[in-house]
Amino acid sequence: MDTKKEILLDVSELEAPYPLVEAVNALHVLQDDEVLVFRHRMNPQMLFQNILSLGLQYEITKENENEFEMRIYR
Amino acid sequence: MFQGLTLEQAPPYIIPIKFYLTAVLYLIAFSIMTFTYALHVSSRYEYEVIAITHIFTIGFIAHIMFGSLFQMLPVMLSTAYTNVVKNAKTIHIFLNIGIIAFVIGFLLNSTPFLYLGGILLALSFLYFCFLSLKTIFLSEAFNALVQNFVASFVALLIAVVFGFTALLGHFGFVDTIKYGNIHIAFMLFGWVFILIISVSYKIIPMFFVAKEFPSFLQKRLYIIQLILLFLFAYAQMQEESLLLLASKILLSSSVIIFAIFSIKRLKQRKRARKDISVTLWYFAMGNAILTSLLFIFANLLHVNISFYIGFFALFGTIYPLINAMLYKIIPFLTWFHLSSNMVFDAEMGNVIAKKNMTMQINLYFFSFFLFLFVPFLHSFILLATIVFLFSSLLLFVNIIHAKKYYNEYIKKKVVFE
Repeated sequence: MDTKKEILLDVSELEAPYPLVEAVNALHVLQDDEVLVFRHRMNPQMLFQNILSLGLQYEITKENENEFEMRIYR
Repeated sequence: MFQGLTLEQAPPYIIPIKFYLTAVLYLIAFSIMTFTYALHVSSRYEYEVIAITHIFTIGFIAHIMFGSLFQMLPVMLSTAYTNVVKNAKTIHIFLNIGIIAFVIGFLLNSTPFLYLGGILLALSFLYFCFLSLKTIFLSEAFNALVQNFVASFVALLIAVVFGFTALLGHFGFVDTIKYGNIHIAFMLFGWVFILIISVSYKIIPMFFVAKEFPSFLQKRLYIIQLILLFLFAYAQMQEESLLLLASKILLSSSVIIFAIFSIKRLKQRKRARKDISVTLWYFAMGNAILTSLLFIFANLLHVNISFYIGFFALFGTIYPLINAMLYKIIPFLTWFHLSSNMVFDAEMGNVIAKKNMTMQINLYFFSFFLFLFVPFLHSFILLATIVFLFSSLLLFVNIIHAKKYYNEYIKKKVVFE
């Protein structure tokens, strides 16, 4: 995974539903050699099912108050 | 282009909407009943007052909360309610027959109707609690938010037991006031307050681009509130006046702390745009602080201002907060269900016209300020109620508009063979 190209998606200043819209759009175009670094101000509970349904994997790398980051990849 | 959501656990769109529409019908009934009886009542213990209060609390508040939880819990837990369509329908029917029988029972002072209403309402609440707790325990998620929901269900269960016991008191079996007070405390400071804080923890950061609530508040406040409620119940049963006073003050303090944090979070939001929902939220939180202070002073100084406290709590705090939440939840819900059905050209901002939302909220504000003149001129209550009736009718129209929007756009759904 370390060799994959990082694509940063920071939605922490967007209001609902745009963080979800942006994330789902990015997931659909994510390539095998890419990793999506997703940043938000909160845990995106509605996103996880979408990630799994596309056969993608995720790893939460930061989950503090007002700070959430995860890496999504194939 | 947006590719759509996958949300298998979400119940059909019609379930929350049906509960919301029914809730607003009770708001209309509440206005009509207040108009009819308001000039003839003087105490909160009069049967007409109890009937009107329950039209608002069970008819309006409980319907909104049930509808929202049927939608929110499965999405947050990634676990669906069992047989959601059938169970939601059963609860909706039981709840409505229960409310109508209960209200008729109080208005006609009829024992069979009161018993029928009480039993059906208790069954509806208990069954809903059972279904929700089952959904929670079947899921793997048990974060702070879910724990808050569990706490609110615990409070609801206890409130139902004490409410039903208080009902028996109307026929002389137990001390109605004592059990009734515990019922009210667990309903308002327990079920309603904990549920409101749980939903706010989610809605304020999500829709207003605000910071999350501090984790100590999310993880500890509901525990403190439950402990205080048990102390309150013990003090009430044992007639420990000092402990009772202390628990009342501390319960109110929790509300004040939450209200201050909400205001602070909204003040610090990153994209501070003009939004009528935010105004409504500030208004509700200001009234929450005022109500709590009135409650504390009334208990310290032994003055009976329960009508004013009830008014500021139900009409000044809980109602505007629910109204604000509805105007965030319904457009999102509509967009969300359309998106998960692969309909991508729906816009959240068009689900309910902004102009109509503003008009409805302004009518509510106007009725609120008219109510404030009632202590000086009692007949103002009629005018205030008429204005609130129009506000409720417009709220109903606005929700119908959302449903029509959904019906219109869902026709564009593409079915893949």
